[in-house]
Amino acid sequence: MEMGWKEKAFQRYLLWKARPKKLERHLNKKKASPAGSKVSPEKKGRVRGAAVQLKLKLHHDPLGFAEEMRVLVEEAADRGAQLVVFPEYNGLQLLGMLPGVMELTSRAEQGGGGKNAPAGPAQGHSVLDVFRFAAPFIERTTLSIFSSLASRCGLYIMAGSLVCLDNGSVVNRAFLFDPAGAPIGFQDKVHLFPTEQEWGFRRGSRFDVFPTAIGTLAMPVCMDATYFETFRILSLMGARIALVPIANAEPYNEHLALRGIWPRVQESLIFGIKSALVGRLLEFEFTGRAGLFAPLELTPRGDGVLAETNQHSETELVLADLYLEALEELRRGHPVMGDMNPPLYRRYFPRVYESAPLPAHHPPGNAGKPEDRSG
Amino acid sequence: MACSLNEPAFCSANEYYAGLLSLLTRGECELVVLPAHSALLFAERCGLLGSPESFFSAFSAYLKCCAELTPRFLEVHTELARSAGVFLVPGTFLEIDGANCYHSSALIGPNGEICGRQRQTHLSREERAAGLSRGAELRTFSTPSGTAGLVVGSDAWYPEVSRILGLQGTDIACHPGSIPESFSPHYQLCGMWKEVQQNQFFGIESQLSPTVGGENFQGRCAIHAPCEMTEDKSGYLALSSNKEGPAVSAFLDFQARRKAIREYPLYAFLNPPAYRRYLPSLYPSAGKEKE
Repeated sequence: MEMGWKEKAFQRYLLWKARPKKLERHLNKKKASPAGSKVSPEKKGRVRGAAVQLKLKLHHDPLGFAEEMRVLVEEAADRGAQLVVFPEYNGLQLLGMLPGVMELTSRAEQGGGGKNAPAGPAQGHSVLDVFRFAAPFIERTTLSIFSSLASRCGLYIMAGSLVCLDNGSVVNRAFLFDPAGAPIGFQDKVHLFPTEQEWGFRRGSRFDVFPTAIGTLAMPVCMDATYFETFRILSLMGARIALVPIANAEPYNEHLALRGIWPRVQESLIFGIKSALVGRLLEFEFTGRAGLFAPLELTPRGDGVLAETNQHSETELVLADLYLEALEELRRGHPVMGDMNPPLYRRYFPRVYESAPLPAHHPPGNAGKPEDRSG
Repeated sequence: MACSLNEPAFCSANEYYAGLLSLLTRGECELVVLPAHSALLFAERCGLLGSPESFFSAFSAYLKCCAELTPRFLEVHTELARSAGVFLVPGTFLEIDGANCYHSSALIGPNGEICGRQRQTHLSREERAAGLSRGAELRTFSTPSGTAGLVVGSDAWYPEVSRILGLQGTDIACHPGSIPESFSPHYQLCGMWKEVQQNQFFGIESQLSPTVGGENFQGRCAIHAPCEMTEDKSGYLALSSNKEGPAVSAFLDFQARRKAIREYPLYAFLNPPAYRRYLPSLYPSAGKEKE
């Protein structure tokens, strides 16, 4: 839907209200935690990672959101983290700045929602319209906050994935910052969740890895971890730590939750850090447990889990040490994994994918904007 | 049905045949899968391998007589399938083809005919050291119950195998497996369970229970389905309570599977254009292949 002058003016107001200088001033007012500042990267191949499980709370003021993020990053820094990973759809908290969203959410929480709740935060507008409207200020505000926090605490931060606009299309994009606060890169979600497809999101068409002082990182987003291809490609490209932000809108079940990052870490022999958005927004109830995962052989209980939150519905931070040299040693000598059969792959890939069914819904929001199929 | 071969106890081909026939005809099953290294177990228990001191020496002893032992093993199982009137995956055996030796399985029809064979396509470190070769093809087999694919041994840990079989229309993945006791108890979950979940087919997983060449095994037999099809969302239609359980069986509800796929169509959200940028070119080139 084309924006009218009122919407454009309001969007400018939101951008002004969440201007980077103001956010930076706010964050700089706080005293930096001495223990957490400038953690030195990579000590003998050890990386201490932190995964954030974040309860979704709407903010009508961007400073409230900045403060919430600051507390979490500084706690991670205080506990020695060199890398902090935030969840999928981080920044949705800023939807609280839109008029009516708080009220709609309260109504949904009081039972007026559920299946009868509107599909989007504002009646008469599609979810895609709302995201298109909100994406610019969500992106600028969130990135500004995490850039400041990364440099303030001297940490790598994966800011989570955000709803972003790219050439008019809405994408689900994860961002990475270095300890100086500089952006390292981004990764678009390559496998959309059915709901995102229905909303009209555009899926990503490439995978990227990011070499850093703490190892080569990658940022597959949520549903990307359902498909082995993601982790196989990323590990072959050199990734050794996959940062996977999730936001699962379903009742928590340990078996359903096991279908993402855990098996991917086992079959690709890399580390995985999962951050989870939890809590309620309109009719969506998000659940999940943040955690740090490793191949079975590198975990104390042999279960592939280095650390995991104790519950699936509240904010919590978990940390663990990832030993990169031990990982390389395991990769070189694993008793079962590590074989390859290139002639077999060449025989079937990519031809075998031609038999896969097409997505059930063509994204309406991408009409006239076909994705890059150049391969 | 998935059998661990913990029963029958046997020390001759006749005892094996009679005991297994009794098990196979007990549950009115249409498709039965035996575990990996069944041929090795059969040969060892029948006294055809001497007294091997280790798994590797049992393996080597079998290999020396492979040309004689494998046809004999298959003969017993074609007769078993015919007598029981079932499709039978007889576990695994070694087969020689020219200069190469393969770890293979097969599907035998209820008429006693071998529908086809499947060679293991990925090898463990030990299997590579033993000189086995990799299969170069993944086949599917039509049965009245649906299309079957065989995931042999270590192939369950390589997601490419199940993906290729799944995209070729496999409805039921049959996995003859064996997990040494020295491995983590969580190891089994990294095999067929995850493959069933990411390909939404049924999985019949038979894990070897008896000791072979002095080596103990720890896997449990299971019948898998997409999590959404099982009441507790575990993805297990049946799971033996311990490794000693002789067999588990379950009814495969194809209508329920179609519904599960319709509601959560994983293959519809694959992204082949993105994969084509990287695969298969990212895989190690031919010159770097491990042999």
